[in-house]
Parts: sequence; structure tokens; C-alpha cells
Amino acid sequence: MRKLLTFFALAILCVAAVGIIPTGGALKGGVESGIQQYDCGSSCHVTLGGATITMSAPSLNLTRGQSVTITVTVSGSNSGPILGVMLVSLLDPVAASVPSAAGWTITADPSGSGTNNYYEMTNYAGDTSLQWTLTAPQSDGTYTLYARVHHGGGSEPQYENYDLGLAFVVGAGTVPGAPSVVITSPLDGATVQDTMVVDATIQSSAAIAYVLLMIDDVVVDNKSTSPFRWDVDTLNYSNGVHALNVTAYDVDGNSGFKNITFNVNNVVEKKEIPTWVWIAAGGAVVIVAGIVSALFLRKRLKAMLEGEAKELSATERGLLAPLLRTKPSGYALLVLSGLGAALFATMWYVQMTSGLVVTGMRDYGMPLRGSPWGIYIVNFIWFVGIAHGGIVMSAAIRVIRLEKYKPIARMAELLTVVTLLMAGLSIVMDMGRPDRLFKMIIYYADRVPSSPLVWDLTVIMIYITLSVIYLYLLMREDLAYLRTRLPRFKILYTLLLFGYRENEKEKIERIAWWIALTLLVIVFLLSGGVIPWLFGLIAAQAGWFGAIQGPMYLAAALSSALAAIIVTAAVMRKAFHWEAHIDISIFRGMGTALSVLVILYLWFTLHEQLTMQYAAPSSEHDISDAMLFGSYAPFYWPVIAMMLGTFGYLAGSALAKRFSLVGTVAASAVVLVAFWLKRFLIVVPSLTHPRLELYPEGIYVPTWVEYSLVAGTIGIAVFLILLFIKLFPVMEIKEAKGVSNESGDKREA
Amino acid sequence: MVRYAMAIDLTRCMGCRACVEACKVENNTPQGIFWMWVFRYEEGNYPNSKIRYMPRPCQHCDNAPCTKVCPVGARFKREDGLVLTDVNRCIGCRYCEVACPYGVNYFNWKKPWKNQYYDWGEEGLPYRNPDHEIEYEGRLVSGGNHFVGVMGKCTFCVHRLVKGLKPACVANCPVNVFSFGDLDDPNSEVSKAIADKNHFRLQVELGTEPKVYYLGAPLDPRVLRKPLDSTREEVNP
Repeated sequence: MRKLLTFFALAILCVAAVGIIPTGGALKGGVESGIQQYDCGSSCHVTLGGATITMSAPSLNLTRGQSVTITVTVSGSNSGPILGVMLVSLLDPVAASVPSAAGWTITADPSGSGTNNYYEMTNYAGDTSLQWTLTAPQSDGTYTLYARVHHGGGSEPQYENYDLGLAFVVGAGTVPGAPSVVITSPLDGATVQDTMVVDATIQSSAAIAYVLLMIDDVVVDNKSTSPFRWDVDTLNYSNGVHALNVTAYDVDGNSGFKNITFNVNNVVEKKEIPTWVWIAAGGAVVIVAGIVSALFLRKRLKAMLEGEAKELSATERGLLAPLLRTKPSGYALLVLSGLGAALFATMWYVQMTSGLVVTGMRDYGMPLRGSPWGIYIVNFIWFVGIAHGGIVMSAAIRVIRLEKYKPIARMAELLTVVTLLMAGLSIVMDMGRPDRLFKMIIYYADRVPSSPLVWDLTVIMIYITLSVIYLYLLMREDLAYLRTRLPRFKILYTLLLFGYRENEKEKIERIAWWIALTLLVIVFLLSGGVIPWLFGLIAAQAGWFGAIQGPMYLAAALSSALAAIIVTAAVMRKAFHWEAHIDISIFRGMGTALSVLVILYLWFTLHEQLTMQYAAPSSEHDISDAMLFGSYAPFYWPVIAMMLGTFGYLAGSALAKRFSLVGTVAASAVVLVAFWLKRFLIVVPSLTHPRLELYPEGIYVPTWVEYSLVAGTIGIAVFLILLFIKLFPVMEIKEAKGVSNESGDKREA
Repeated sequence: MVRYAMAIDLTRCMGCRACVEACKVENNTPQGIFWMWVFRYEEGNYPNSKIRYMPRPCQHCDNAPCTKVCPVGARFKREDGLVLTDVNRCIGCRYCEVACPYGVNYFNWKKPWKNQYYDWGEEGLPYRNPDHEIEYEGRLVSGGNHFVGVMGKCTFCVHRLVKGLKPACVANCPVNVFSFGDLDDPNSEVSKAIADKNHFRLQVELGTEPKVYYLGAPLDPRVLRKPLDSTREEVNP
């Protein structure tokens, strides 16, 4: 019995508790926080309400700050307890959904005494009309308000019923006298092509401040004076429907606008032709034009290249072979080198129009991590090396009277002039602004005390001047001899022989001897001086700084020059059948000298690498590591192998007294390639391993533009050599004659 | 005469790179070009390691190797200590970049007015800072948006200094890493900062006399060549 009583007491308590919760726990919509409030406990939501809700307003077009009264009507069957009605600007239950967040100001709510966005309904019966009075936002635009019922429901969300909302347009020109916009062109929905004319007529009582033209919500233009007319290039827009808006503002701040749509339908899409198509087309035109003009001018061309010669002995005819006839292989080489020059021109055009970004070079600072100098500079050092060595060969032949080597002297001089030009070109193509090259001359006096690059300019200028004078002076005698014998060159040779006298030879020999001596002396300060100083004085780059650079560069310059002369002389000897004039012992001697220079260079390399590996600062050590074991090892070891191999072959054949011309020429070609790559290993690894070791290892991969320009310089060099040997005697006619006929006299003298 | 210098407090820097961003915006520098850069690197070995940051503007050396090697005198040092580039004179040989041990030079590999991460076409940027069109002391040195094929680098915001403002990186640092001012004035911000704290300068052994002082412990040699930023960004032609 006691147990039964306890049970009833507990049951009564539970019922009472259940009765209390709905009144105490339910939060009517927005009561506490002013936003749509989720949390009303669970007990109030017993059944779903069936009420419908509608909204109305006297006008949907408002001016800024205009007052508007909104009527919300709740009607229909309702089976659950409605707790309240709220006015919101978003349907999401977030804090920003209160109308004030959108810019509205509530001046009166249905209770008549407050300014809340909700109205708590304590006594719902039948249809109810509620009224809010609000002030419109202070900026133009479209603003939507929704009304929502908070009622009992089984589960969330508890805001089932709402009105679709009223969209108010603020600033729609409802103020009397506000601007009104009429778009006369294009018509709404019109299909347009190419240029679309937008023409708007604005009417306003106050003066117009400005008029905006917007397409797809992007402001295209604004104007403040009539006519309000625009030409719009529809090619800037995709085919399809776009929105156009013209909005006018007057000086009072009132505005009016007009929205229309237009349909872009451009038949032909503009496409940019890729650069390579232009290059290919240009190349094809050049080739076709070349072939056509060659066919038309065949006879004249033949006469020019293989003209008549008079009063020449058989030996002289042999020596003048390049001037008298041209073999098909000669034409082929001419076309090939011409194509190289054309490639150079097109690729340089690409580089000049796009900037040096088309190369693989980049800044060494973060984040690009590249090498600011690349294979253009490599090419520069390589060509300068050949140039300096070439003229030194010729000078040495003259000063220390290496009579045996005399037949190749002019070839060496020619090689010097041509490769110096290519070295200069390599610097020019490396420059970002070659059009400003003249500034180096303008500020020369100011900069020559401190800039190694200006020293280089000086060197190249001195060398090209001396070489051209040297080559020209020593050729005058032959030109005078050939002036009458080669009629087609008479004008050219006469011009060049300005001031010629029969007895000038002695004086010219004296001048040439002094020039040769000068060249021999200054080569140590030039090829073994300012060129390596370009790098050796730069303390900022590990691996460059140091005193061994001078001897190393000189050894490299003389090696590659000797190799280049061997290759050139051998090719010409073979092509023009000069076996009798260029003795094979010349090649043997030069080959032996080359082997000594190459091993000298390897010895310097050993010094360099050992110093870098043994006790150098870590930045130096890193570079050596990168070359010996790291990312540059695939280049470094082949270069060393090539040098060792050529040394072994050349020294071996000299010691064994077994000589092969083909082998020597092949070894020389290998030396040329090896020294080009070795120069790469001088320039690039230092720049990709900065001394400031916070920078990670950099990357440099040359692009096809760079390869093309480098190949182009070689093409131009070959072209210039061919041009020279087609215009001037590359073998010394008088000297060669002297060897056979007047050797006795000479010895006496 | 003022002698401008900068002190960078490495103990305060948190690597947010606001200075990098401020510099790019202020100087209109093109894609891939960062006159101000912040190195991020790990110091020590796991597990006793921490991340350190080092902002790197131009060091404005008193004995600047870049000015020595310039073949046309486009790179020059002003009396107030600024090392500047005359973009009207530069021939684009990049020798200054090669001669600089700090890697602060940035070449205009492509048309700088065209590529600010977004290709604005030939017409160029919708906005350019008009201060960069003005010549300072008779030479066009300010801003990074002039010509293709010329060199550019940090100017200590020369166009802001003439207005009495501090460089953009200094003004925008949220944690006051930078002190900037006149080294000859003992009461200037930078003089006080150097007087108060231990400091070092980068690669002084080269005799460059840099005018950027780093406050805090010198670099731990073990961090070298192991920075966290090892990726290379590519510039599209």
C-alpha cells in the first residue's frame, strides 16, 4: 500500500513536470536573441502547424530611406501552437538574417510599441494581420524580405511556413524627377556581332552627374556628358546572352537604370597564329625565293663565283681554287650556313619580341633559382679563345719566322676576325637591351676604371682593329698581283688598294712585324687577362674567384684556337687539293703542340679541383662536388675523358712517330667540343650554387632559342669564311711563289 | 647627409611575408620577381630543430660590387647610401646580378607591364603608382615596372623616402621586425636597434660593407644549402 502511494505521488509529480516545461522552456521565435531561434526545447513542438502566410506592400520600388509598411497575414487551419511571426532578410537561421543586417530599419512592429523583427503570438485565433513599418536601406539594390511562422513542430526546422518574400528595389527612380534611362540600341534581346553600339537616352530634372555602362555586372565605362553612346567590341565577350545595364546618377544622388540583355553571335572566332607558323612560313618563303632567284641568276652567279682568270700559272690556279670554281659541296655548305644565319635571325627576333624569358636563364635569387648567364656567355668565351689564339699563331709565325707554317697564317688571321665578330655577337645576343649598346661608348671613360666588361669591350676592339689591319696589310701584295688577273674583282681590289705603291712591301713587312709583336705581348693580358678577369675578379661567385683563372683561360684559348685552325686548314686542304702547299708536317707539329696545351689545361684543372675539394670554403666545395659527383658530373667526366683521350692520342702518335691526318682532325674537333663544354662548367655551376648558401641549388636548362642562336653564330661564322674565300685569296700567292722560286735570294737577304 | 640603413630583428620575424607582399604591391614588380624575400630554413637537427626566417632586401652595400662592374654606370650609389638602378641607362648585361653575393637583383625577363600574375595584355596594368614615373635626383630609379630587358632591385622605396615615409616592407610589418633610419643619427630607430642588440651582417668577409644589419644569433652553418624553399617557380613566356 505504501508502495502504491509512492507510485501515484511520483506519477503526479511527473505529470506536473510535463505540464510546466512547455511554458517554461519554449523560446518564441527570436525572443531572446533577435534572430531566428532554434532552441525551444522539444515539448512545444507537438504537432505541425498548417497555417499559410502571405505578405504585401503598397510598392516594391523604393527610394533610399523611404518608409514602407508591410502587411503579413497568417491564415488557414492551424492545429499546432503558433508561437510567433518574424520578418527576416535571409531564410538561413543566422545572425545576419535580421532585416537590420541588410540595411533596413524597423520603425514599428505589430505590437505598436517596439521595433523588433518578431511578434510573439500569445493568443492565436483565426486569420491575423500584422503590420511592420520599415525604412529602406541607404544604398541602391534589390532587397528581399521574408515573413516566417514559428510554430510547434515535431522536429527541426521549426520554421516550416514562410512567404516567398517581397523583393524591394531601392533607388529605382521612383523619386519624381529622378533620372530615367531608355536604351534605344541595342534592343532588348537583340543579336549582335563585331561592334555593338549602345545608345541611351537619359531624362532627368537635375543635372546628370555620371552614367555607368555595365556588361555582365562589370563596369565597362562611365561618362558624365552626353551623348551617352558607346561602341562595344563584342569580340571581347563569348557567344551567348549577356546582361547590359545603364545606370544614370544625377547630382542630387538620385539614380535610374535600365537592364536589357543582348545575344553575341560572332561567326568567326579570332585565333592567334602561333609563332612557329610564322617562322616556318618565313623560312619557306626565304628558301623558295632563294631557289627561284638562284635559278634565274644562275649564269650571273656562276660568272661571279667562277669568273675568268688570266696570266696565271698552274700552281697559282691551284692556290686560287676557291676563287675559280665552286663544287656542289661548296654550294651545299653555303646554303647550310645561310640557313644557320636565317635561324639566328628568326630566333633572335623571337627573343627580342618576347624578352629573354624564352631562354632558360633566370635570376639566381629566390624564387626562380636559375642562372643569370648561360650558353651565350659560354659561346662568347669559346669564340674569344679561338680568336685570340688564331692571331697569336699568325703573329708567332711572323715574329719567330716559322716559315713552314706560313701557308696557314692567313687562315688563322681569317679565323680570328670571324670568331671575334661572333664573340661580340654572343655578348650582344645575351644583352637585354642591345639597342642601348652605344651607351657603353658614351660612358666608356667613366666606367673603364672599374668594369671588367668594359675592359672586354676594349680588348675586342683592340684585337679586331689589329687583326683586320694585319690581315689587310699582308694581303695587299696579293691583291695588287691579282687585280689584273681576276677581272671581275678589279673594282673591289682597286678600292682596297688605295694608295698602293710597287715598293711598299718592305714598309708593310715592318709594320706587320710590330703589330705581330704587340699581339704576342698583349695576349697574356687579354686572353690570359681580361677575359678570365671577367670571372676571376667576381668574389660573389664561388668557383670563379682566384688567380689560376688567367693561365687556365690562356691554355684553353690556345688549345681551342689550335684545334680550330687544324680543322679549318684540313678541310680547305682537302676541298681545294692543297696537299702540295700545306705540308702534312704542319698538322703533325700543331697536333703535338695541341697535346701539350691540353695536358697543361688538365694540370690546371687538377690544381683547381684539388683546392676546392681539400680545404676550401663550403661554397667552393659544393661546386666541386656538383661537378665531380653531382648534377654536373654527366658533363664533367666526359669533358675530362675527351681531353685525356685527345692528349693520349696526339701525344702517343707523336712519340710513336705514326701520324694520321684524319685522326688529328677528329681529335681537334673533340677538343673544340670539350672546351665549349668546359666553359659551360665554368660559367653555370658557380651561378647555380650561390655563395650565400641559403639559396638552394639552382637549375639551368638551355632552351631551343639558345641552342638556335649558338648554332646560328657557328652558321654565320662558316658563311663569313666562305664569303671571304670567294672574294679574296686565302693562300698567299706571292709567298708561295717565293718559296719555290726565290728561296735562294731570301736566304741571302 | 643621411646614411640610410636597415636593421632586421630575426628574433621577431615570424615568416608571414607581409613585407614581400607590401613590396610587390608598392613597387609593381612583375611575376616571379621579389625584391624583398623571406628565407625560411630549419635550424638544428631533429628533434632539436626549429624554423627560422630571414627577410632579404637589397643590402645597399657601401662598397657595392654591382656598381663596380656595371659597364654603363646604370647601377650607382647615392650619397645617402641607396644603391639604385637607372632603368633608362641599363643595357641588360646582368653583370651586376652575377657580381652580387646576395642574389637581390631581378632581371625583367619579359615585358613587366604585361605580367602581374594576370596577363593584362599590351595595355598594361589598370593602375600604376604614379610615383614611379618621377625621376629622383634626375634619374629614373623607382619602381619595378618600366622596361623589358633591364635590371631591377630593391630601392629602399626611394619614392617613399622623399615623402618622409618608411619603405613599404618596414611600414607593413605586423610585428616590427624592421628598424629603418639614419645611421649617422645616434637617436634614430636603426642606430638604437644596433646599439641595443647583438647583430651581424651577411658575407662581410667580401668587404661589401652591407647596410642591412640582422639582429639575433648568426646563421648556424649547418642550415646552409638546406632551405625549406627548394622549389623553383617558373615564369611563363
